[in-house]
Amino acid sequence: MLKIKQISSGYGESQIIFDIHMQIDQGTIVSLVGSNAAGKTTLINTISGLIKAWSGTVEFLGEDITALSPAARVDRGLIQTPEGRRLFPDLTIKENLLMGSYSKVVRAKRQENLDYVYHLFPKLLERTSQLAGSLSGGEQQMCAVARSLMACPKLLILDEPSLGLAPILIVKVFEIIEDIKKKGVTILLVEQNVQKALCLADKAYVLESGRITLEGTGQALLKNDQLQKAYLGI
Amino acid sequence: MLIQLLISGIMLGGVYALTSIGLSLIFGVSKIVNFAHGDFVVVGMYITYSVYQATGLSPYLSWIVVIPCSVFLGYLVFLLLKRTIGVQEVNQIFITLGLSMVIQNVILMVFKSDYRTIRTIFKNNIKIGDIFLTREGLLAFLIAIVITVVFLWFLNKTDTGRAMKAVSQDRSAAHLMGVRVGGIDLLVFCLGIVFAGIAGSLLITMFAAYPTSGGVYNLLAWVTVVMGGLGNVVGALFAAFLIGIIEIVSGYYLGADMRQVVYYVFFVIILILRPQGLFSGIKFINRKVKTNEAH
Amino acid sequence: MKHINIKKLLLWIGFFILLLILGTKVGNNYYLDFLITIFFMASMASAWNLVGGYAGLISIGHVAFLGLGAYTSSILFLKLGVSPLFGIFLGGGMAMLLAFLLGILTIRLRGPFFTLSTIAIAEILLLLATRFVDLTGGSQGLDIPYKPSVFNFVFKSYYVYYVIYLVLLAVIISVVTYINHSKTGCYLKAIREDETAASSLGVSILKYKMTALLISAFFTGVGGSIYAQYLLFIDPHSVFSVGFSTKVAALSIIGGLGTVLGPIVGAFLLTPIEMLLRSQLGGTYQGLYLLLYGVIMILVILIIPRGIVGTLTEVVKNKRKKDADRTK
Repeated sequence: MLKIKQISSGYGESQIIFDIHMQIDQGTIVSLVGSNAAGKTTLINTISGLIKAWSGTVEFLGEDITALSPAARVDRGLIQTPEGRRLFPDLTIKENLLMGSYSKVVRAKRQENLDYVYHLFPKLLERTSQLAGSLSGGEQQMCAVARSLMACPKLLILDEPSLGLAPILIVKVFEIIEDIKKKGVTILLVEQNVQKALCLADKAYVLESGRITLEGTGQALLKNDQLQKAYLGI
Repeated sequence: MLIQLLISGIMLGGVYALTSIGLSLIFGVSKIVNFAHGDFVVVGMYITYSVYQATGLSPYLSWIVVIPCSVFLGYLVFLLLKRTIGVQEVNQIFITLGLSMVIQNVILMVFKSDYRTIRTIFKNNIKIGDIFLTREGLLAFLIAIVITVVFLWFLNKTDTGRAMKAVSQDRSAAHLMGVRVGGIDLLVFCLGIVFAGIAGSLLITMFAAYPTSGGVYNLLAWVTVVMGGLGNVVGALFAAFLIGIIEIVSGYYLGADMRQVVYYVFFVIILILRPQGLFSGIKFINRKVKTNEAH
Repeated sequence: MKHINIKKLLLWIGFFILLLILGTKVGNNYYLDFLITIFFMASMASAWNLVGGYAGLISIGHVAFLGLGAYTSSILFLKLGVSPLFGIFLGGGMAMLLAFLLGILTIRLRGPFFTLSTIAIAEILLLLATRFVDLTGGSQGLDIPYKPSVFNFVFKSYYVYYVIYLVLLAVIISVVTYINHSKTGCYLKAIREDETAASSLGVSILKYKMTALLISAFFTGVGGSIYAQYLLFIDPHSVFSVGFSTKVAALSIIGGLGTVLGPIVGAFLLTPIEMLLRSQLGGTYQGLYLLLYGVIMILVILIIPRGIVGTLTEVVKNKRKKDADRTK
């Protein structure tokens, strides 16, 4: 579904990621793990088109999208839920959700999608006219995921969905991710919570200092010595 | 007498609102610092004047010329400013100051430095009880209010309007929603200039235009935007009424030449004491009220 | 400022003396006036550059200092008989006082809002100067009687004014050069590059910005006083109009912000064009030179944002670096 070949990118003059190769198959969950500042967010922002790739290509559903704008990628079903939720704080929950289906491609399905996400997150329905900035962290995360689902994602990139949440909510978030997968949405999960991310993943990549250092199935990586020492503290 | 002054002030404020809403929008959504906004108002005044001189077309119909001209001007200026969005605020100040010099002096060369105005539309004033209103003033007020209300509806109820608000709150998140942010920037800029142009076509029926009058409207628009809370369109509307009232009341009691001094001083005080604006509290109260409702 | 470059210093002094002598050879008052105007604009642009270029405070209301200086010395002379010899410095002092008050209140404001506050202050002073007729003569302005004497600071010969302006320019250039190489200058440049980084290093940003603002205001005030003594007439619009500040800023930007020579290059290139256009065209096309200023300013910002001097310096530096790399 998504093929990344030899992607290099960065901000200004400083290169952050180097020669990344990645492949994500339809209907799977792929986890991208790595320490802080390894370049995970840079990589997915390059995939989303927020940052231009310096070299290499991004292929989505067989189409080369390297030169496309972020909006054109959204139209094609490549959706990112950014780190830190990034809701529009002075818009209401409902307005935030409507922004999720801004793309003309999915506007026809707007009501259907609204019903679906309210069904998935009944709490949001109770507070449709509340400003997003006034929600708690957990509620914001739900709203952010719901907003992404409004766009009928084919590939959903979740950047640190469990960051800053209470343990009980983290469990909830991972349940939701599995639910979304069951609906047929392919997921790229970026996580610092390595254990959870690998358990869930069909396939996983480890990013260190801007380079992919390990890849394999989630289960295989969980048993990898190197990885256990570095991230799981075993 | 005080009631007369208050009403005249609010009438004037309505037109000022139109000049500042454009500026507030451009600054709020794209964070472009536009120091030539007043000159775009004046361009609207001169276009209306020329159309009136050439064809006798009423200032209220001259919009068919003012609007396309403003869109075109906005587009050209946007091309100059495009690359500076979000990175070089200082360069925006310099480019728009340069632009202001260019506009003022083109006007000077074309129209000379004489005062120009259109004051022959209506002969008599309206009298309600003890209160006098000029027909131009009342009409300008009503038009400005209608445009503002329609625009607020657009901002809150349409996808494009919501996208404008979204871009103003978080540009990169807006990208991720599929918003063509560059397109929104362009639309907002042109819309802001159109509002300025229309304000100009209303103002020329009440005040004289001269080449450097853009400086006055520029400062006026910024005063309003700062008082209203940066990028807060509703705040700018209230601030405009306040400015209108301050101008009329202080003009009456202190003399016409002192009215600007009063609101400039007021402006500096607000910049220093409440840089978040006078009316930014309203939004906050709303937020609080709604939180309480939900619990 | 530990090792003064003696050669450079001598070169500058030689240049100064050369200009002094050259002035005596220009018999024609028209040409002297031409040079005086250039010196004046160069002085004002240099003084502005301290604030706009080094401290990153874009003041478009700098005329407030110019006008306050001009009115202070003129009023003191006309009403109290204080010799402009002192009045000039009192004018500078008043401008500094205003800068201090303004600075305390507004120096913390972010970029465009500082700019707006300076414009508002200049407009307020313009309106007040028009209003308080008893003191300022209102829009009629103030006439300084033509009674040449050293005490009155009025001179028959244009050459004397030429020398005065040359000295003013030399002093300002020296001060800017000194600041450029001093600790204050280094900090100011650091702040301009990255305000948050500089403040985290413990640089007291406000102190350095304030220093620059005070010095700049002083020289602008002095310049205003001398300007009044040269024209022998001031009115609110000639010394308080914001357009003058924009022009001065434009000279600095075109020449190169935050460089010693930038404002001077800007003034020496553009002021002659302005004067030629004004004297040749006049009338309807009196605005042409300002239009030109605006266009050039926009083009410079878009194409060479560091200005003429800044860009040339960079080109020379890069070339030297390349040559050095090659010899390696």
